[in-house]
Amino acid sequence: MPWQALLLSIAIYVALPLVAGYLSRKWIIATKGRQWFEEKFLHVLTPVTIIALLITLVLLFSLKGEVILSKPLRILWIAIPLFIQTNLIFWLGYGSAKLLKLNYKDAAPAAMIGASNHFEVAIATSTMLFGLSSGAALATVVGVLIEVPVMLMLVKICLRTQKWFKPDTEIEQARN
Amino acid sequence: MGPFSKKEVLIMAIEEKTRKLGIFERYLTLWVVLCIIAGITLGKIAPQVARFLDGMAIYVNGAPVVSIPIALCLFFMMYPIMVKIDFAEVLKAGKSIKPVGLTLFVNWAIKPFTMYAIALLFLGVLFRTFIGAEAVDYVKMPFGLDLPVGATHGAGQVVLINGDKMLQVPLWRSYLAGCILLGIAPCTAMVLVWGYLAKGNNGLTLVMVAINSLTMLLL
Repeated sequence: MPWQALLLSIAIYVALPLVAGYLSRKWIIATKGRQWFEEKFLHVLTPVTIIALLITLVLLFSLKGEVILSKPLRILWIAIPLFIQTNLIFWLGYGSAKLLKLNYKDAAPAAMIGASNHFEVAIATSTMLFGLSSGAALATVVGVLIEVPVMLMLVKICLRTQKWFKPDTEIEQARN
Repeated sequence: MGPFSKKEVLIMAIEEKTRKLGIFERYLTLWVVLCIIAGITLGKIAPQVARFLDGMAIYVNGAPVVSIPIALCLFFMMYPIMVKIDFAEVLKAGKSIKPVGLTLFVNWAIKPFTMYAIALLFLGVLFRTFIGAEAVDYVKMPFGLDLPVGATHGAGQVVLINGDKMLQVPLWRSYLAGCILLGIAPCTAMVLVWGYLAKGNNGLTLVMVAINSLTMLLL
């Protein structure tokens, strides 16, 4: 693995929002109080994640629009095995989580971590090893394109199958 | 706690959340499809805009690694999740060996092999004629290798393209290599978004992403 590429992408994609989130949470709770934070601030933030996700999709597909339109079938040939692999790994993880008697809140992210691919690193590696115009680089790009729709499908499956797992104790107690 | 018990407040919070997310979540598939179409259309109508956005990236060794517009979007995706994480929970999550062990096992002991098997089956056998059994791809020479033109290396042959030595390989093998790279590069930061949308334990997701990413660094 090219470690600089990985380090950079982790720093920007994970560490930056993590630090910003941690600090601003502390600061807002300290100045405005926990109640304002939970009732007003989080309220405003809730749709932000999904809106940002949708904008990312527009961006991704506009950047790759030419490739998609010029080689639609080849993209399909690559997308099919990737789709099957993602589903297989998801069900393997989800099933094992059930066997391990995890609760739903732990099982869903554990299964999705396995299913999801680190496409930024895969693209960078394939570009470095094989070149930007290579078929390998195209395959990793297809990985990006199917990631969001497929993972959203798996999210839906998770939400519908919550009942398969041990109920989360706190919420369940609150409901009873 | 005021007129409501902790229990009631919790129930109200849950119901409030379900209702709020309703409009976005219920039609999410529709939004996704619309955004994909909008993206492709934008790329078609205004390719210069797409190319301009694509050029705004941080490069490592000549390969674009972090696209700035996408990094910006990802920040807005992640920030609301991160700000909700109670770090006392993260410390607790660090002690849950079972889910962390499960993700490590799936990511490193299973995933690369199933990816290889499935990609080989589809690209190398089932779809081989569709891709074109004779179709070739030109890839960079393996690093540090200097072979004469015409020499063979693995499944490839060294050829001269525009004065540069390139390795000519069957196209399906090139696709296979890309798929394998995807298989050995697990878990993006986006998993936090998936875990959050599926109402999972965000603190635990963060720990698992961190541990899996660190493992990838070590390998």
